[in-house]
Amino acid sequence: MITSFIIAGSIYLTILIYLAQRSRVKEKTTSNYLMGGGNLGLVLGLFTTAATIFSAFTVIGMPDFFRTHGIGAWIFLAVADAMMVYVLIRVGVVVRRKARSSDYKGMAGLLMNAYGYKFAGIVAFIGVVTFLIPYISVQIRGVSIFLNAAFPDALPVWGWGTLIVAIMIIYSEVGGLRAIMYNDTLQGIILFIVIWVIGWNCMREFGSVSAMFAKVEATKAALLSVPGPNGLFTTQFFIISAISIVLLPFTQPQISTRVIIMKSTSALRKMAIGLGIFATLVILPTMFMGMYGAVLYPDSTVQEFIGHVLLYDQAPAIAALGLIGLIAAAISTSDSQIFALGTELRSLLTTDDKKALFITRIFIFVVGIVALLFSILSSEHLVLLARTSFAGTALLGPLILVGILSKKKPGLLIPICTLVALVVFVLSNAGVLPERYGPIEIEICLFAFLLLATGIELLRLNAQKEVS
Amino acid sequence: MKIKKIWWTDAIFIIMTLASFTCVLIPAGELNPKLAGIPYSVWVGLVYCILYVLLAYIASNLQEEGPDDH
Repeated sequence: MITSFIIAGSIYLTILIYLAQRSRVKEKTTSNYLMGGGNLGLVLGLFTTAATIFSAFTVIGMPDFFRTHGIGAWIFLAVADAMMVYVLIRVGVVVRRKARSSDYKGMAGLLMNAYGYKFAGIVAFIGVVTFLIPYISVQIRGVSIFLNAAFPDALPVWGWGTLIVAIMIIYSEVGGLRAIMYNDTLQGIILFIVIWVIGWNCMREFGSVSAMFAKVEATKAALLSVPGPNGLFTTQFFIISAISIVLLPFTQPQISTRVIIMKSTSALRKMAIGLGIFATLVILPTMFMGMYGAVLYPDSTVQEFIGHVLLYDQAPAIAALGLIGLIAAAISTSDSQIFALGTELRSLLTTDDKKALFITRIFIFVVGIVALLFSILSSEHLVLLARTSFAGTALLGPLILVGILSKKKPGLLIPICTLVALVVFVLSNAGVLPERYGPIEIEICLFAFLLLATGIELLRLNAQKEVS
Repeated sequence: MKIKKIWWTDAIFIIMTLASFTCVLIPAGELNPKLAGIPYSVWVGLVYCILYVLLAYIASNLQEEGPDDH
């Protein structure tokens, strides 16, 4: 398999270098370097957004989630992603128009202008930094551990992590967002092909889809309904996940930037529909992989299971492709997230463009290093950490939506309440504060708190309107 | 006229979403009725995905067109 991997890896790297070189930006400006020229077409927009959303947690995390917790994972991600598509069409179009009517450089900067003070932008920046860096780290770690297990004599875990971060930073530095989007497109296509080839092989092991489910039912019937054998998929879990995922296009800057730089509203609408179809088609084979694991490897560790499903149970060429798909999935999300954090910082800087861009590029490098260091320390619970990241950034939802959609400048109430909610959520995740209050989970409490603050603020703005 | 029509898709979206958190989509411990051997929540979930995307497509056609739509 190592020969196949080296050949496939060399081809993959050559294409990455070619695409980075092709999109090379000589005279870097915020517009061409951070915003990729701001004229994103349908195909590029679809694949770069899809590859950014579907990360290593899709390839490693979701099959294991299906294997451990059952078919509730399908509702958790596929149905919530389809919900997101509708909201993206209805709200995304308005957000895009508003953002493009101003000098958009990043969500934090947009909020700073919308609220009329820097504090609102800083709260948004703190939120995305806090919840994206751990997510980036856990992806790098997940893939590095897996590569180390596949090739124990090649590199240590930190060596694979360094290599992945170096690849991301180099091509981001050379070509900016345009290079990332070209590479995401390549990686999105690889991810789609790989996941279907492997998922199809897993399903074929049973002969048919119905035979697969019959076998799982005979092995552990609780996997085929909610809340699953471990009781994870409660109604509250689904509500929190749905809110978090539906808000992703507005609260995670790597996605919101793509939404805003689509070349037309029409292209955005088509991209959103394509994204819904892509999401369903990408998650379906991870269910086949998970059901395969539930029957054949019910008690294995995550690494053992993923090792079998992606590598050892596949033909060498497919296994090599599987590894490339896994690397592609991790890189395509992490690079966009690291770069988006840089964009967010840039949008808060009011200095001249050349200097601001220089600071941003240094910041992107530093974020890459910090993510690498975190990856050496982080846990391996990919899906749950991804969900925490989604929920954490979802707390920014009211701040972002009210700021962008309101015709008047909102007051300090929502930014202050958002900051409080972020601190409480971090302390709750750190174990300092409880994760639930009575039967209610902390995320629901915080969403309700922010909804209340939003209601009060909207009433206040409305009263202002009537007085004036 | 188009602006009025789009509220129907919003209403359907809200009803579908609220129903998705009930036994319509996630009945506790229930595998049946199956469809071609596929457990209930899986095939209803797939129907949900298709309906949401279809609804999004309809809504996108009913939305007001802006100056940069084409």
